[in-house]
Amino acid sequence: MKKLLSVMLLTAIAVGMSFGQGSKEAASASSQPAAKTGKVQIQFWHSMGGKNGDLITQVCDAFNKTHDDVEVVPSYQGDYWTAASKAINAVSAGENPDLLQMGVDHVGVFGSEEGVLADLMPYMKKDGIDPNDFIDAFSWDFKQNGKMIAIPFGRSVPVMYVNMDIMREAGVEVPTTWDELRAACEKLKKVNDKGEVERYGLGLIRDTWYWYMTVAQAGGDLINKERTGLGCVDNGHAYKAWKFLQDMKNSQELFFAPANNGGTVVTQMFADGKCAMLWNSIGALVSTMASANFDCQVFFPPKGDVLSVPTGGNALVMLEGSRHKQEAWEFIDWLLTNPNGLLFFTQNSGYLPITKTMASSEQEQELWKKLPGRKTAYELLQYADDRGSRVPQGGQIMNELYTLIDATMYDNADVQQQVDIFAKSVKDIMAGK
Amino acid sequence: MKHYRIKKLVTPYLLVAPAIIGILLFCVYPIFSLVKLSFYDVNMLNASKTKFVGLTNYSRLFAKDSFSKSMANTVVYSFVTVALIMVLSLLIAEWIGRKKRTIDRLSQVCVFFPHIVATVSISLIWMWILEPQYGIMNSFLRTLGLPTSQWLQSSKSALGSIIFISVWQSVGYYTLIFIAAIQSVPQDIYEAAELDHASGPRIFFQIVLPIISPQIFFVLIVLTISAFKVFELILVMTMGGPNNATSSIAYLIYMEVFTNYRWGYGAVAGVVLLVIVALLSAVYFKVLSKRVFYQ
Repeated sequence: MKKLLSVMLLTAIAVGMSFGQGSKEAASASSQPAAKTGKVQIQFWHSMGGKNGDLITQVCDAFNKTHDDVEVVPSYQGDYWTAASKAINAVSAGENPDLLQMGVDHVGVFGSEEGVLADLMPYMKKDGIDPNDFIDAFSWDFKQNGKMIAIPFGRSVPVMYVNMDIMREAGVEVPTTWDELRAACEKLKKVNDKGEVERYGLGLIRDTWYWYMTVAQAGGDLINKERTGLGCVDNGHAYKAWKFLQDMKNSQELFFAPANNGGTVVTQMFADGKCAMLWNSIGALVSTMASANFDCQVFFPPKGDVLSVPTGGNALVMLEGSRHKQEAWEFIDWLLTNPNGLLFFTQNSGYLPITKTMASSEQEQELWKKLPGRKTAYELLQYADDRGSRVPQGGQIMNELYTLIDATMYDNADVQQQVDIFAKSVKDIMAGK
Repeated sequence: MKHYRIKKLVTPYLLVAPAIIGILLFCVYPIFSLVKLSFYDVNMLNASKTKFVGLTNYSRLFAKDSFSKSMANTVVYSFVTVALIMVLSLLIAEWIGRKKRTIDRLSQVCVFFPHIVATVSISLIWMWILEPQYGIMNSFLRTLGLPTSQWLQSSKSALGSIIFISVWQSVGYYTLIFIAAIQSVPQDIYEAAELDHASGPRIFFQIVLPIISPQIFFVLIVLTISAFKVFELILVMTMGGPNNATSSIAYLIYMEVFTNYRWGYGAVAGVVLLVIVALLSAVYFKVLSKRVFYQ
């Protein structure tokens, strides 16, 4: 009996270990021709969940229906950071996907290493795609030394959403400068008898984006031109920008969102009329308009010394390790030229058109009539500039910037002191420490 | 006969081999790999650029404010949660564990319930409860005329809030362990103590505690190791903020590896955590095991 039990146990373990080994092979992400369909499968990793994820699936289905030899398989990999981490591990293991959607800040990380991202320029030249058709604000950093290592996919800018009903009721004009913004928020602020704020002038999400924007608007570059540290400390631009936001928060003119789920809290406050104005991505246009039961309009963010906005969103790259680059390029080409591709995605997701051709298309012009805010955001692109903030070490700098944001906005710490601490951290990061 | 002797000698090793192989592959090998990684500047995108840097990763990470803050937070969190959970679990177990009335059984279910809910769900629910603007906690305090708090949104109260939620979630599980231990104390000992007119507290401290000392020792070690690895609550509720007020060593590892892409630094933090937990366990065994009484 004991002998029989021992043999059964050893057999079960041996079978289990064999099964585990088989699973590793099944998990491989590299493209393989599907045995049944005979099509070349292109693995497309993306970071779009929810409604945008459904749009990606629709786009891929539309491509697959019209192509007999290629099948694009979309696969949600989590947020930009999670997807990038998985992709790095996959590249390291030699099991990378063919196409990867990544946050714009990650293109520099992957692009800084030779041989990771495929050069799309030869494909574009062969198929007559003009690289200059891409909107410069969305693509300047994807073009390196005559190569193009990524194409813009879902791109956005920050805009100011305004509750015009409240503005009219309070007799306040939509501000166009920082001084006007402060004056407007002072008038729009409503405090009850118990001292509780019932309405704020402006709602702000905890995001480094708005910090880049205010520094740029104060006239400065976040990172200096030598790429050795901050370029906004000695000239006082960082202090000016962030003291401005801190003062507004302390005066209860600005509601600063909590760290987690802050976007949900502050957009709900805007929808409830507890914030008269809201700085948020144009990507939230459709949902913001849908939840606003008031006259909601989109404007440029108020100007500091200059008008400047950062861009955000994501890009599409082809990995050099892909074994089916031609087929992967076929999908990219289709995305750029077919109305059911990126044009469909950007129009339904809230992201902006990525090429001048898309922007001037009949479909986009029609949409601008229905959603004028989208046209406003497109016009804002002439003021878009990320050259002062987009560096491969962006992730590390972002974490240090959040420390500064939290200290100044939640703990009311001294702005100059925190700026000096941040400056030292950035210097170390740029030096590779 | 010889064949039988060889079989008798080899069979036990064959039977434990799968478990040993599993431990070697998934515990021992990763530890060696972790230590090795901590001495390298790792480039995952280009393996040829990965280079040995000796103790550079250690010196740089130890000099960072974020590391010292994470260490301090982890130590404070661990000692406070361990102390609170131990005391509360013991008291609740003594209160509802001795008798087997319906109300006691119901209380055990209620106390244990938070443990069976997923940590992510608990984190999300408490995040909304403690939201300063809309949360029911502040609304409740305002109704009672009591001062409100920023809870998770101030560096002064964020760590305390995390500790509170962690204790609330965990106390039930350890209470059940102590209830089982207390119920195993022989009844005749209680009767003998009552005959000697021993008071309730005296019975608890001088009879019950020594008898259940093996379980207390086990819980202490498990709790300490678990406390030092705190991660989920922080990731979901505060992301280490505000201003690194709730960043722990485990969270720092996550940030260094998955956001900063500095695998060497992450490995250093991992080694530090491993050494601390190992040292503490050794101290417990050396110092406290003498106070454990096995029946």
